[in-house]
Amino acid sequence: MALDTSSDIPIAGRPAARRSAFGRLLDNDASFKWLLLAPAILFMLLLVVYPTLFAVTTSFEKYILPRKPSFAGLDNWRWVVNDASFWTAFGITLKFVVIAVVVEIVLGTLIALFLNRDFRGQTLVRGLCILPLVAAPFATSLAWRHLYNSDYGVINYALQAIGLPKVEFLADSSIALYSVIAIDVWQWTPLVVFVVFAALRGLPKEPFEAARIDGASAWFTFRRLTLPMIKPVLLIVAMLRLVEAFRVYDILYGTTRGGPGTSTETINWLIFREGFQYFDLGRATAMSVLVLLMVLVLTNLLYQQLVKAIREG
Amino acid sequence: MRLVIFWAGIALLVFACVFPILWIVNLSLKPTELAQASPPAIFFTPTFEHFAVAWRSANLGPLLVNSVIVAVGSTLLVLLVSVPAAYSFARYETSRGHLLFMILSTRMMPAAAVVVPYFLIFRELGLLNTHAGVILAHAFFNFSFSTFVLYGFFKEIDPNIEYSAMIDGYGRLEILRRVIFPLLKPPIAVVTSFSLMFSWNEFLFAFVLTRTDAARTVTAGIEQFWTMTGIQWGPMSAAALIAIAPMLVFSIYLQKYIVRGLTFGAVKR
Amino acid sequence: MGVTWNPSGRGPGVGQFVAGACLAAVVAAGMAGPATAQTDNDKIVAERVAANADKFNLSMVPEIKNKQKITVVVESGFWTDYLKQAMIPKFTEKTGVEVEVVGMSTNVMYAKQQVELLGDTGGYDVLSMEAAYVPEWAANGYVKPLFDLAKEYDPDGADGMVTFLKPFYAGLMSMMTYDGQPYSIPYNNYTMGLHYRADLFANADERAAFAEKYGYPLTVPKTFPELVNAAQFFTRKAGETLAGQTLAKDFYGVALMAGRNEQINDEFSAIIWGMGGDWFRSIYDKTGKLEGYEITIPDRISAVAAETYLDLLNYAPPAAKGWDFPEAANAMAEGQVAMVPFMYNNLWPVTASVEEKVPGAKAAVDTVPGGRPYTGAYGIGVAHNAGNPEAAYWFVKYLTSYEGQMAYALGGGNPCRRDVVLDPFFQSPDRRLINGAYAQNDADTLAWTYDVAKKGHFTSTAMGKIYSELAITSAKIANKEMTVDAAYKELADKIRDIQDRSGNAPILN
Repeated sequence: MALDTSSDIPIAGRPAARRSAFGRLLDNDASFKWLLLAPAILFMLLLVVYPTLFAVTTSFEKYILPRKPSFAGLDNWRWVVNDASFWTAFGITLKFVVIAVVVEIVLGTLIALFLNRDFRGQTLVRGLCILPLVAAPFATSLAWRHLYNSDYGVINYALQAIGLPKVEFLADSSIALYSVIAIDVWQWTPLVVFVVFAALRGLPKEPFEAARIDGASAWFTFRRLTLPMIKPVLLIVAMLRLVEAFRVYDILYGTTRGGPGTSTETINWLIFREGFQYFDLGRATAMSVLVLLMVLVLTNLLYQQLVKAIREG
Repeated sequence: MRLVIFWAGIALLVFACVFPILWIVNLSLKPTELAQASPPAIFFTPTFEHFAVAWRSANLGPLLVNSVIVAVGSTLLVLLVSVPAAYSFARYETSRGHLLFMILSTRMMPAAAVVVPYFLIFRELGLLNTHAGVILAHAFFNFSFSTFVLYGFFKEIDPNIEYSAMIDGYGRLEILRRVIFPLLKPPIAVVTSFSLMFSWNEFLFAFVLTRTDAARTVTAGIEQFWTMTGIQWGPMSAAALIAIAPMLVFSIYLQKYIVRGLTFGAVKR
Repeated sequence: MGVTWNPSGRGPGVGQFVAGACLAAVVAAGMAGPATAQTDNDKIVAERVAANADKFNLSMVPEIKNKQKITVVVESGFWTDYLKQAMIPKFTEKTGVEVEVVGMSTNVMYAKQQVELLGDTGGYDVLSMEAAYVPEWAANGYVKPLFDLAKEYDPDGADGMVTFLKPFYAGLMSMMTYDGQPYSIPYNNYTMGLHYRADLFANADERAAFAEKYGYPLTVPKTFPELVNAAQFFTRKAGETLAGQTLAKDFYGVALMAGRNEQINDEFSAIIWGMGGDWFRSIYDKTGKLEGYEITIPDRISAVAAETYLDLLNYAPPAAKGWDFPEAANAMAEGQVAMVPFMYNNLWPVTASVEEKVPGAKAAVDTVPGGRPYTGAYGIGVAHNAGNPEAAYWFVKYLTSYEGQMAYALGGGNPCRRDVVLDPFFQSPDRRLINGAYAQNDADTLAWTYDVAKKGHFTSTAMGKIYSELAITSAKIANKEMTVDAAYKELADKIRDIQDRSGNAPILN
């Protein structure tokens, strides 16, 4: 990469004596790198550290707004661990996250491979494929609500047109969760597609040429060549999706709201109810901290894999 | 034959992606009595009345303005904070990855737990029902994603370029200005796009932290068509369409940047 | 990123066109004039007000000293629109006080307002309160007592307020009262009724078939077994006949609000109360002070109620497990069901619209089986930290005045003042499809006058939370996630837990 030499100041011979104190600070590597982080740290203190500390301390208190908080030791924690609805919700959330992320990664990779060639109208196709990602989840969840409806929804209409029975996508507790997962998959697979696609575009051509010449099958090429090379990217996307999937809310708000029964009641929904409707902050934060810890563990696992993959790559 | 399969695949893909959005358009133009008709009406004489109703009822004009202010504001804030931070992580491995991981983990806290302390802080600072409050909340969201993506990009930049510039006598700021910034355009475009998009589409915090139309965003404003006599599909879809239309148009341009730039720097060339 | 013409692809062009078309449509149509039906309503209101000049109306509002703008929370829908277009301009013209309306769906009303009240932001001056939250908000001091407001701002004083409140249903007022003081004035009565297809019940063939099958004449069900029988009788598959016509689609006996919303428990309540049972009841001591609550579930009555509900579900469309009240009402409107046994009477305009959609259909309303419908109202009151309590008070009074409730009724709402409800204007046949449920609703609301205070439902300060738990348990039972007994036991524990943690009075048993 060439230096931008379009300025009118001569390249060589700039007086070094004009260094200010700040300039010296900048020159010093150690202080510079922390200086760069200063805004981020300030930001995090206000918006991250405080809420986390608040959550942790409140989880040990009996704090039901508007009453004043009082110390409650491990009461909230005991309640969380024993509460059946918490673990049910956790199970549902885990199911949601695992299925959604796995499907998104697999489907996204397949589509990315499918699109990884030049064809007429490719810009238009790509532009259209990104639409699910950019439309507000809340807005699209409402559209899905209409589509899923068993009386006037288009999906059931299509099913019946080909002779299949009607399906209660959102009212049948055994499939409601999958219906919601489908919305999430629809929304976020494009993200995986584009990230993987970009990664595929950045891969070196030579190994693939060699493989093709050697007559390797598509599957072999994929498993031995493509996959290891895009593994870091897949892991990063998996991590980001994992973290996001735990926080799903907008889609639920527009469709099932935790129902039917409690079949789509995810942890986030439960915490929201506890904290925002019952205003029982002690319990809500205890649940939140527990969830945070679990997500941290899961993400850390992926992170270790990622570091390994980068080193190997 | 393979060509047919290929194009069929493309058609299926595009259809799956686009259909729900087309359906929103369909619902927004459909006369109210057909909204819940069975079988679903695909062809009908369209009416534009829902847009008028939605615009008036939900006061969408000011809401759109709010959405723009919040999206732009939070994106600027995010860039301000994450660009230097990502650079620091990439070039110096500051804190050896721990701080970076912590930044990623900021998104792991369930939103419900974050809402209440935010509400309390913002109340103290007088930021409730203001643009600034929602901007801060959105900046919080996008910060981790931005930092991560930019980290990947910065890692791509060969440090030798900077070293040679330093040897040539350039100061730090000069290097940043002349060497780094020009390289930053693609990744910043990517991060800006995503940040604007996430902020525009965000529902929960925008809904909770605002009380009146003074600061409410358009995405939060769709909610009010869920009335006692049922969901008003027409006006709600019209409002939803108005809410997502800017992003749809915007994304036609956005995909160029994503395709060009998203490698996270983790793929060795 | 400028808008550029891209001749190589249709993409940006299409996008721009759609966006542009929308914007143009909006701008053009947005300037269109208001509905003319509204100006008709305005005329009618003006006439009625003139005919009842002794009642409080807008012209009687005195000079308001505090001109600060007030923010008002209102349920979204026709009422928000009507307020913005008709009533508020009049109010502002008379008083010089500007009003900002915040429309909210009833789902989020509690949480959103609670947040503002807890945050002590003073953002809302006038609050919308459902019966369930009145005790809680009153006990926490979030709402200004009406008599205090009247003493301070009303030339008629507290006595004047008593007179003003006379026409309101005693039962509904009782729900809006805490510790002897009214905190909110009800304006939207949602007492339930049994909405049904009178044409089907009157059809000779159907009557003959029913009498033959069940051994007694087909009547509007008054008891739950009668309801289940009628529901079973009218559930038919596509291809079978109904009232002499072949059905193109499946037809069902009942529509239920069995989705995961806080209405399924209202249906359970109607059944439990109709059978003489309760969830938890209030116990008062000799002086009338609330001692506490006795939780009555799980007991035999509530178990039979749950079994009845599960029976009824068999005769409801499968989609009912995702339904809220609009969908259930629409089921009748679309001609899909014969009855909606537990439907809020303020949705009568929706269920009655079946007459316009299905040829030969006739809608009617009667008391719910068991005679103890879920009842309640939405009311409005003044927030404790309102920036302008004076204007807020007058706004509340205006909205619930004869004039205000008249406008509400004309728009299709279900008012809470007897002088409006019983006005002969609404009894006329041409108003039947909009206001036809008034007479029935009047009788049913009156029946609750004395029972309200006996129910924990309407007196507990933790009811906002307990209500949600009732919904969850009811949904679990309906979805067969738990056995009835286990679900009720779990609920009893939860009620105890909630009441102990944040309730006003202890659980006594």
